[in-house]
Amino acid sequence: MATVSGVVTVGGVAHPVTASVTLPASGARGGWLLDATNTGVPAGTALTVVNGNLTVAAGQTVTGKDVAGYVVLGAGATLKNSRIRLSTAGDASEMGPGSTFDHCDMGGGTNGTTHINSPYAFWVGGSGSTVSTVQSCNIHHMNDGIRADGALHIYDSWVHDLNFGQDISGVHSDGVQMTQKGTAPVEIGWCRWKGGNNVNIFMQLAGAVNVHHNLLEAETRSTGEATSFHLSLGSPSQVTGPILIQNNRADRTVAFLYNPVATPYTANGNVYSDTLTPIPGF
Amino acid sequence: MSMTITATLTVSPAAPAHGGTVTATYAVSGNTATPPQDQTVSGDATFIGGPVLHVTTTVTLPGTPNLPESYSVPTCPGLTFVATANPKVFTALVP
Repeated sequence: MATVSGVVTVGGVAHPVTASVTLPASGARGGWLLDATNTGVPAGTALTVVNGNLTVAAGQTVTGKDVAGYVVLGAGATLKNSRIRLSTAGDASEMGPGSTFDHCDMGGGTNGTTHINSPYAFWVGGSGSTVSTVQSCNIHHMNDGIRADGALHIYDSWVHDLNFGQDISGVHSDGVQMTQKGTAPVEIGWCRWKGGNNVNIFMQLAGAVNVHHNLLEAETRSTGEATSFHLSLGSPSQVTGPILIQNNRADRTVAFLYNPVATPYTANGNVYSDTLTPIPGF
Repeated sequence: MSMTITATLTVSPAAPAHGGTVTATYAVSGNTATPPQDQTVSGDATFIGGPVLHVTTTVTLPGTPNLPESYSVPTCPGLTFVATANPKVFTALVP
């Protein structure tokens, strides 16, 4: 039980007041615990090949598919324990409001592990507050991992091996990018991020964003091309906030946050992943 | 007649989940305006050797407005509250 404290001042006289709230336990989760063994399709799952794109109707749940194409999830639909191979350049899946990807592997090319010019694994948009969810997914071999332009929770997922310039000429890749200003909330928790060549979490245009308990890793290629920053914020006119950045772990090879115009944010509890000591200022 | 002023703070929901939004709302009671009120002024006029004359008149006393109110940003370990368009209401995302 935590105490919320405040003061009301009436006619110059202060009236202290309190209330109680029960906050959820921190839990033993964290992006630093994730890899191929606990993200994506569970080992031993039998998959049925779908040659072409797959649409999951609103409210329906589909499991055990190996899709050679992209997926469209209707409102409230779920795709679970499945593989998605974005086989053609330009392929990207879409999420309707309240839909879910659960334990899915999302990769590029016909074999799922080829760098092709796919813009992102999936897109979620809209200004509504109905939250879509991505949990326990393994996302790799495309430009951006995720385009989060609507209400979205990303939990327990691993984004890595994104496209760099040596894979797709001129690519500008982020682990997740937000390009819609608004109030649709985004929560990114207990995930592991590595690259691409821009930033891990790019809050370019965004509403309320909560980034917590993630592992942030920079990728450096043999060509010298590397991830630029772990986190990046757009300008105050583009990011309405509030922005919370708490309890993350990051390697020290690149700057933790790129915020050139002092967009407001709250950050605390963030540490270096090697020593678990505080990242100065964060 | 003066009225006691009291203030309260409520938080909703009482047990939020990770990623949820907590709303803290202040409320004040007793800070009410007093309207202008008519009062009677009474007196006696006595003529020597004569009767006592009771006289009255009325006067309207001014009312008093509500006292100004202000509200601090609530604090709570683990939460960061931010203002909303309603000065009595603040919200925080649960990490």
